[in-house]
Amino acid sequence: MSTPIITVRQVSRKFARPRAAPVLALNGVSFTVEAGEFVSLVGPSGCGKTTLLRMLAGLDTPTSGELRVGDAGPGSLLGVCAYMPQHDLLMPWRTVLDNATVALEIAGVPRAEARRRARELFEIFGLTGFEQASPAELSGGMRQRVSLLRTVLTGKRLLLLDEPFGALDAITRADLHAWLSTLLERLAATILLVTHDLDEAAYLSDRVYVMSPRPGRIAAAVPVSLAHPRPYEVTTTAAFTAVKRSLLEALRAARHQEEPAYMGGSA
Amino acid sequence: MSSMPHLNQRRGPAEASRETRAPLKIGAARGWGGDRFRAGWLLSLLIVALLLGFWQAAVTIGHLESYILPSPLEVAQAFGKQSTQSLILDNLMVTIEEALAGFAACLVVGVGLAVLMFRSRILRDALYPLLIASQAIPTIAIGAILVIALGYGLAPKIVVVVLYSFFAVTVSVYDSLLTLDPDLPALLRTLGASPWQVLRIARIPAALPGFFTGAKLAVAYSVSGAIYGEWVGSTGGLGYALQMASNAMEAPTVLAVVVVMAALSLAAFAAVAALERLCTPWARRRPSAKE
Repeated sequence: MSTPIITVRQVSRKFARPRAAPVLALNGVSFTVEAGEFVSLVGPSGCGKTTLLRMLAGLDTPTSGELRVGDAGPGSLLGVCAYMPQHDLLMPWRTVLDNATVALEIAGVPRAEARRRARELFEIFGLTGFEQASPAELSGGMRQRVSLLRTVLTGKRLLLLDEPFGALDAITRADLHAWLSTLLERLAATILLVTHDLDEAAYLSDRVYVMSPRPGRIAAAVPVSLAHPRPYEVTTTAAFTAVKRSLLEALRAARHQEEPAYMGGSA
Repeated sequence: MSSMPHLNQRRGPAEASRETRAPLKIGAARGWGGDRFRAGWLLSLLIVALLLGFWQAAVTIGHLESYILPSPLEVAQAFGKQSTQSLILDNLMVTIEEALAGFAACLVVGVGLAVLMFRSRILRDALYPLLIASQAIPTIAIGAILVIALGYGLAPKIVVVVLYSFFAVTVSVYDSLLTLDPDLPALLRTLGASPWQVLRIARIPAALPGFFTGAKLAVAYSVSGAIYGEWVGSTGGLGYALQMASNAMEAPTVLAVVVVMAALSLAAFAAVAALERLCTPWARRRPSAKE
């Protein structure tokens, strides 16, 4: 085993609420991600998955415990990973191309150079011909691809994806899964994906961490030993079904053994 | 909002200016080139023509004296007179200057207050009730006080214009600042953006449509606000001209000045609307999000 690139150790996060008892969102979460791995976090809504990603992106800090990404630790995580939030957050006042290059623009890359780098990837991302389009003209699937392109163009080798396909219909989502799978080799990135879609987690990941309901903790780690690249037909094989079954069982076990500490207010 | 101090018995042109203003707003929201806009324009002209015809007929049939209610023709003739022309030309620039200065001050005050309220919850809670209360101030009632305190010059007009219209700017800019998804600034920060870059890339563009909504309202109020300020006490401007003509019992000239005021309001509004289309082309792509 090489040294992990992401280390999360005993991380808890408590949210204060006005005129109400604080909510414990995460309770002693520990896991690691190796360089080059595709790891997914699955769990029910409100189990703190997004909070965990936001902390790794440097947008939130744990109440206790420690997160490390490469050499970066508490207080220096902002900007280490490329973070793709749940909503595409495309800016309607910018063209698709200018949305995609925003990271390069912030980094001070000259506009012509930034656009050249972005254009190179437009074909792979299935966006050719839409460079000058407004985000409002795109379908939901295309918007997510622009959002992912913007994330990839940060040049970071570590991607944090927060339910990137959650808002899409099942058919579009399956298409994007197959497309992303073919893209993985080219990206050569370490990816941490948050999702509540078991098919998505099983199909894309090398390893899946199953989280318990709130307060979230890691209930199980399920390895997915299917060879890459994975044609989409793999999702109907017995091996794939076996992975899904163990994910389902882990989720169910986590729900039953854990009595939720609070019932009020879902996330 | 306090009402404009048009002379009560002379409602005609004021009605007409309101009628012509409405289709312009629709045109601004939908773009200028469309058939629908052209149809709106024609309908607007038709309404004005009908009103004028009705008015002319009422004066002719009712045998009304010119000093009670001049006919549209008499108003048109007034425009031809050397004395009316010089009265309007001598005073037009004063009003434009006051309205522009007031409009600029109103944008500064309006945007400034909106940003303060957006940045600090305490300031918002403290300021919002005060701002709403400020809208209850009857500008007519404090006009005299303003003249006593600030004199006959530019200052009281700017104060009146700001009182008239800063609220529209503050509310629309504040609301548009709130429409920005807080995740976007967060995302930009993960990309290494400085606060200034977040402002330039996300906050300012997101607030622009609201800013223009407020600016369009404010500019329309600016002209009437400036004229009201002149009405209370001044040595020049269209409001002053209005009073001169009124004191001389020259009703056709009074109405001629009112027509110029309406045209000035329209032109000012059209200028801001044109700037809006230039600066926020994306806002037109999604009319549903705007209306």
